[in-house]
Amino acid sequence: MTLLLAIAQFSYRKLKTDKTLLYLLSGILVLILLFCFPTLLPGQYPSTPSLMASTGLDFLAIYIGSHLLATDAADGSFYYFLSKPLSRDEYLFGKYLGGVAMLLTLFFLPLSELMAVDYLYRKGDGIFSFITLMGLNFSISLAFLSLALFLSVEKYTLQTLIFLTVLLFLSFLPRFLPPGFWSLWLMYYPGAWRFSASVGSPSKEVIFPVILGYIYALLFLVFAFMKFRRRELA
Amino acid sequence: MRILLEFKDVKRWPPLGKKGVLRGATFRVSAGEFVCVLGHPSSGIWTIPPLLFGLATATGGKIRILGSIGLDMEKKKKIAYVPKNFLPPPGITIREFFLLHAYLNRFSLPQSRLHSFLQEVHLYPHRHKLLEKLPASLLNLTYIAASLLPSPELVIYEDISEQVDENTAPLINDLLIEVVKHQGGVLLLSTGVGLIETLFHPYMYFFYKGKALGEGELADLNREEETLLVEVDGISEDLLHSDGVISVENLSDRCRLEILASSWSRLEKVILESGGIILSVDRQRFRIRDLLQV
Repeated sequence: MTLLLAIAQFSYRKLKTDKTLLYLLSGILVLILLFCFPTLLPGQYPSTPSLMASTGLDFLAIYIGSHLLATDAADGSFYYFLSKPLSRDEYLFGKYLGGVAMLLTLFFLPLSELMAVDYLYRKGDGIFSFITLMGLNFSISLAFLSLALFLSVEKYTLQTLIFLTVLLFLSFLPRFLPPGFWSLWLMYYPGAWRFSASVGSPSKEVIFPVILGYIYALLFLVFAFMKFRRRELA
Repeated sequence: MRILLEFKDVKRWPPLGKKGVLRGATFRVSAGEFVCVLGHPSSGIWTIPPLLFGLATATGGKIRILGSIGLDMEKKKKIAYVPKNFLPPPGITIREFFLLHAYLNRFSLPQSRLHSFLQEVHLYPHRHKLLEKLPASLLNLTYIAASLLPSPELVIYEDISEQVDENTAPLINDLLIEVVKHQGGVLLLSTGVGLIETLFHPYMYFFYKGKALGEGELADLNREEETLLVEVDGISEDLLHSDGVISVENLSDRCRLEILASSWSRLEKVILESGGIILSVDRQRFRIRDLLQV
């Protein structure tokens, strides 16, 4: 356990000093302020800062996931760690924990406040709904983090980043298709629930997509482990 | 003498798009020995650590580590390795780095032991300094000192001399002498001859195009070697992997082989017996140093 925490701490510190991540976060916050706050006029409903914040968090999760291994490969720490008496699984899981810790920091420090402001502004139907909404957002971001890690195991960092960002924006597309598609989409993509959750008050039925989000995250993580075990690392 | 590491005719043809060809690498590090594998960055020397730690797969040959084939966790504990491009973990002090090293190597490092060791290597006054703020030579000393805890049997360093100055060289010198004295082995992978190589006079393997072109002392770098550029029509697969063949280039209707002059008479027979036609033979002389570009 100490070993995993040591790798996680290393990974977290590396992400903390990643300037690109800081710029991306700042960019997302500026975008939210630009688009949402001008609409905060008396009697008007702001244009979904919660949705923007959660989408932004997904994007940051994709960035983190796709860079977890790439940065280590570039600066030699990859070989340093794997020459130590630890398995590939331990190394990958330690790195993943560091990524999750960074995601939690981003989630609880700047982005969740925006979601909370949004929620309080709309005076939701209780703390339970608020927690569900937060859980939903975090589970989806976690799934994106795992998916990015899984895809980047093959070293295609930039391709992973571009592919998943496009996928993230395409995931909104079924909203504009006939209702049949939308209800089908709601069944498989938990992120789709954000629309209903951000426009109205999140209800108890959102628990299903929250669980689905965590299942996806776990599944992609398992795939990442399987792929990483077999990969040629030189 | 106990063999700590042995590469015997190790070959590696990397997957498409990846680097690191070895064409029959052979070298050995025994207990109490100081060995240097010297070669140009593209000579395949950087493929040695990944193969050793199981991060890449060899397509042929044998790698014996600490007496047997294969690498397990127990063996890994006895090997210290510092990669050449290793950047310090951000925001970490020397003291914390030693502790991280201890966690990763699964051994306990009590504060008293850590402090006495830091004093031994003259790092104690700097123990609270951030690694990223250290000058390159002190950083290198930190990596090397940390890697020597707790007394590994085999230590492997990459381009160690690049970041060593007159102040840290004697300290590193003392540390490495201790390793060798305790029947450990030191393997340097170097792309040039620097302070450490000059201080220790290690036994050297000269790597060229994925295999050892020769071996000897530092002075042998100035030795002259003769190679032959031979163009052959119709060549057997076995010949490509024979000893003495340095490289093979496939041209449209023939092959161009670079062959050590000392192996020519043997290889000529092989070519003719396998039905190959020798189209041309050109001799060229090099000093090993020039050939390795080190």
